[in-house]
Amino acid sequence: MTVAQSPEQSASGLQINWQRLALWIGVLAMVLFCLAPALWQLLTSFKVNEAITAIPNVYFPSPSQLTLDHYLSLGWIFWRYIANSAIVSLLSTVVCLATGAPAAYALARLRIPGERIILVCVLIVSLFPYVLLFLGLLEVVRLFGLGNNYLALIVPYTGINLPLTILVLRSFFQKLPQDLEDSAKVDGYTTAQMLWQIVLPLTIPALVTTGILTFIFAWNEFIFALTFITRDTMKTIPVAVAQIGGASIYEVPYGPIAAATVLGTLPLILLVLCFQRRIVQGITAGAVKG
Amino acid sequence: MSTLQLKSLRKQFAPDVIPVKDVNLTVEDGEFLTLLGPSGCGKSTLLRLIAGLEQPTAGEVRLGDQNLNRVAPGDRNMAMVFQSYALYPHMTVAENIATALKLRDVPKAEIQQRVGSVSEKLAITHLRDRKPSKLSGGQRQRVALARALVREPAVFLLDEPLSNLDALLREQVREDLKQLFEEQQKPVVYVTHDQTEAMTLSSKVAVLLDGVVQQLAEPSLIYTQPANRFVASFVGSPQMNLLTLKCEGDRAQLGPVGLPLPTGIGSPSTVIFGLRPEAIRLAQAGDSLKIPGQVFLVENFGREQLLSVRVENSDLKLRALIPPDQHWERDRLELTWTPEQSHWFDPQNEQRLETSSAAQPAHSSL
Repeated sequence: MTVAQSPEQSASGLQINWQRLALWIGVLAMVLFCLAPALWQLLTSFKVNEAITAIPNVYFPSPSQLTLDHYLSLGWIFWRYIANSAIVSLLSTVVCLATGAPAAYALARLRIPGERIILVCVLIVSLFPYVLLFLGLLEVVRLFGLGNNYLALIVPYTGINLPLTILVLRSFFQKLPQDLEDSAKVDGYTTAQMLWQIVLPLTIPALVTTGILTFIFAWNEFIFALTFITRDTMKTIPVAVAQIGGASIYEVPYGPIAAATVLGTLPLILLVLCFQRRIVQGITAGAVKG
Repeated sequence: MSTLQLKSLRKQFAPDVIPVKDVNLTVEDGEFLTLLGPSGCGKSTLLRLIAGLEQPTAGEVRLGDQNLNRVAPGDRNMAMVFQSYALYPHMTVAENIATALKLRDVPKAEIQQRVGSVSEKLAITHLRDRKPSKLSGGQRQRVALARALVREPAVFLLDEPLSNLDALLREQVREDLKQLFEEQQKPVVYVTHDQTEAMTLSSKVAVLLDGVVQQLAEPSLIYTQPANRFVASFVGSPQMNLLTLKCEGDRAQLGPVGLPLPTGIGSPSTVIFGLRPEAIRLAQAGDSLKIPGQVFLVENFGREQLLSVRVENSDLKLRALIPPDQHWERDRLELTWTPEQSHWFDPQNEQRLETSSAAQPAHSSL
């Protein structure tokens, strides 16, 4: 039997190789397709102006066509923009998690009358296109005199992201074994100690995941940032990038825009790479039977 | 010294969801009480009521002379082992075991000493610094036990602690558990749906159905004197034969044969007749009672074989455990048993019919 099978096996081995090859070609094409705009932007940020506008396109610039001028042209003020974005994004993420997590825990664990209605409301809020809120919010910002204040961005960003945070964290808490909490109670933890020392450490992957989503949203948001903030030193990155202009209206400064985009995206990439482990890691492994 | 007492305990979740109805139980020091029942009979809810994880709708949980209804789970001085073990995944084994002591402000040196000795007893010392995710099922189970033992609590509660182990390991851990808790001399309440565990471990078994204690007795009594039809069918494997028979005078008609009804149960029109498969044997020349029948199914267990027999001239079926070395004809064989081993139940309320011939006392209902 085994002897008769061996030629068949090598044939099927060849088959698998073809399949793997096709798979990798597919993967490569997919990655290229998705990353092409980003790669083009990266390339543009390093090319001299002549190479940027040259026809036919320069895909593989020679060393003489490369420059760091575009990055240098952004100036120190660009660090200020990054700091603005970081402050706004970080604070709205923290507030979002700090308010969303307890709400999600309550919705997951307590038998609240009208729980479904609350959830439906939360869902509806998340379905509402936030751009439509913007005129109303403008009035609110004016009323409270929050123009040119970080709060004008932090509060709406938090609000917009809360529904998703609550829904994601709620389903996470529901999957967290109830036995763990019961065990903690029998062991003598008070409710606060249990939440802080048992539930919170186990919730970190979910917190990181939703936190990153909130952070990315806040980092990239444009309309609110454009409208509620007018003072130059308070601007966030998307607005700052969009407002990079040339010497005349006929000149589009492709190089500096590309450089600014790259710099503005780098923190996000670093953030996601840093926390990627945490997101993937199943920290509850081993808590219960397995 | 402590006595755990449940007084008219009742738990109601919704008007028609009442997992525990009026349960009265007492567990003394050194007693091992098993709550046995099918899933959904309320045994886990009962355990959670004792632990304080649920509040009773009515009734009391008492430890010694203290009413525990208003006492938080952590202050009840009870340790619980969960079915899923519920180890804290972000703590090492040693931290898992020590955590309850730390919360009670036990001095550091004493914690170390107690964790050390309990780890040694359960042979998990070499696992001290591992996280639960790096342990096998049996090891996790031992850590969960260690976490309960190290507290030296007044009462031990165990919720199906063996159900996640494979069959071989389960048998071994069962022995270990028995020794371990005999040493402790504390009240133990153990929940299981496995009758073997209930029979081998306990000093007392409470069989539950629909939130009501059906029978509370020593394991041997549960087996030999089941209080009603449910207990008879639930305890014992293979299941007891339970047949509804018509009666004529002082005889119950089983196929072609009239079984004499025992004295003391009057002359009902129908009766439920119960007989354990292991009580049946092949009839020999001298036996007065012979039930003829045909074998329609043979299940071989190795140690013995389980014959499913259709009683001649009827559609009644009997299952009999027969040693494998005995010979019988598939088309016609004759079965017999000692009349004292048969059980009789009332067809209306399904309670055991006490026969005056039974020398043993009635089941103790508490």
